[in-house]
Amino acid sequence: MARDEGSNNLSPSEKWQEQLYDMLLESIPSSVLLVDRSLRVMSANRNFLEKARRDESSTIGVSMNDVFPTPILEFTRLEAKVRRVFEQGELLRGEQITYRAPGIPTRTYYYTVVPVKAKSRVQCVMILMDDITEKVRLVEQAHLVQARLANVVEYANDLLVSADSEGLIVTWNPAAERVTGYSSREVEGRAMFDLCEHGDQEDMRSMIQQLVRGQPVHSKELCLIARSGVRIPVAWAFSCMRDESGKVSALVAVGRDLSERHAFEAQLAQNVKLAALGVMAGGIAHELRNPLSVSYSAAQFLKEGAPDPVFHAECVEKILAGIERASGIIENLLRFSRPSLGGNMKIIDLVTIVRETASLLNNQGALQKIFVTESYPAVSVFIKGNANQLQQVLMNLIFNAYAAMPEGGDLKIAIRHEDGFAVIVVRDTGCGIAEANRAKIFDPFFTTKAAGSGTGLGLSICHTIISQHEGSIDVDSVTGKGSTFTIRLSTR
Amino acid sequence: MSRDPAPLRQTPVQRGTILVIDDEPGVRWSLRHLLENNGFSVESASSGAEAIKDLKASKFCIVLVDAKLPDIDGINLARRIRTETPCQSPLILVSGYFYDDDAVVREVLSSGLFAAFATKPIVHDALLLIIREAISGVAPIVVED
Repeated sequence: MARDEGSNNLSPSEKWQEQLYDMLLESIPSSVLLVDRSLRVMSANRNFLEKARRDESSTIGVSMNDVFPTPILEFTRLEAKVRRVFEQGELLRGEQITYRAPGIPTRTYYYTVVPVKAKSRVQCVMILMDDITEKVRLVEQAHLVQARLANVVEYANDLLVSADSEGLIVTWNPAAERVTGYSSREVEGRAMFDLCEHGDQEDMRSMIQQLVRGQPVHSKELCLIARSGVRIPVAWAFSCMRDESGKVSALVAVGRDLSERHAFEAQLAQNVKLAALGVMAGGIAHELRNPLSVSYSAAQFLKEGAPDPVFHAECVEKILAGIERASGIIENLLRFSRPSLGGNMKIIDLVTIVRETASLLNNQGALQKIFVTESYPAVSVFIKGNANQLQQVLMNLIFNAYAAMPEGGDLKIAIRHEDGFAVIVVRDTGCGIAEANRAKIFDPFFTTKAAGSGTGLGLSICHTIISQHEGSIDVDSVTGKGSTFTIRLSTR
Repeated sequence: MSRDPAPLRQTPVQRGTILVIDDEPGVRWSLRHLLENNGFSVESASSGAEAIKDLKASKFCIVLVDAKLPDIDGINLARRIRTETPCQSPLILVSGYFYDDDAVVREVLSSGLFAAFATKPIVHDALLLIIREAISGVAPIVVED
């Protein structure tokens, strides 16, 4: 340590002690300055000289007022404080100095003035300065991060709830207040599950228990009951905070209010229903009014008095046929809207049904020069289903395939096992389905057949029946090459 | 001297040919009987493509267009008739698919694409009236005997 020369006559042990102090002072990360009663610097450690960018010769023996920059002296009134320590002999603690000098980055120090007494008189004072620049910066940064986090919590649209390891609410953000109508003060200390809808309370309780045990918990939709009594669907994501020992100390739940989304989804479903109804209404109108129109015309001819007996008979025939066709359409419509299923679901062998249906229609295929190949597993394929309805589906698909191949072609009917499913494939080499129509073929009343040849209900009835069997029906088609219908049903 | 009573002046006989475009055989049957009984000749087409072909080949005083055909809908067919054939005769939309003041119907009437709309089931007198009005609204196709 740089010091004023003055104490040369020391015993060896005193010298050793002094060396020890010097070493200590040189190595500590604080700046240390000794000032005598005339306020001259007696000694300064390396840390001080480095920070102040001074050398010993311009520091030791120099007045303290020449060592510290004037702004610091004026701002901290350091001289007066040092003098008071000399007078009163008491330690001055905890003052902060921010030191700005040209060419030197701003630094912040924390200083203490320590009286060094001998025979109850203050001989000199030690000015201890700690560079707390970094510490101050970190504290400021921490404040900033904290403020940002607080803003996130404050202005988040999502519910942010923290709870202790018992699931008792600790914090409840403004979004949670807004959504539920409960203020933070009202819910603090209440169990989270207590705010859930009755049916969801057990789920919330068990999720919290799982979290506390350190087990991962998947996001889940659980309803809260607002102060108004309204049920609020919330999608919850949970996480936990752990203490040093790794034990779960707190829970954090982020919840998204799904009310609007659910309302939107309901609206969408309603729109889809209305659109389907529009298509259906149009289809019904077109399909029913054609036979009605024919019958109506025939009746008008009869009313006017048809003199020709042949024409008279023709009119009567048209009336009867028209009414029959209209009634048939209504029948199909009823079957479509209320498929008969009831207690007719039995364990049945799919191979038998498909084979019988295909053979029923073989004659028609042969007439149309359609070559039919069938391929079935050697053993029975049991499913739970309604034999008549599945037969209806098969007939529909086979008839459609025949209709797609007016000039003849190949029809392949196959059943195969696939991962616990029975898969029925009906593949034709017909005209195929135009890409624009592929998405519509299962819609009620969608048809590309000429009026009177199809009501557009066949495939939609197939779809309904297969859905009722908890299966799926899909189509794959290439225009001009053919179509493949694939039905998947779970096996027993 | 008694003169034989002058023969009654015959009402003008309409001898124009009407094209009926409808894929429903029963509707074609009823319209043919109705229109032929009322002095028109009738030709019919069961698809859009057939109708376009007929309209390129022959002239018709009126064209009755169904709204739904297997290959095209009636409104698009009407547009194609105007752009792809020389036919400038009135087109009448005949369909059970729409109702009288259906927005679509109002639009195609106000744009002039169709001269009139007749709903199914067809009321004979109403359709004849519509046809006569449509004919009288354009060039005199009515020919006196």
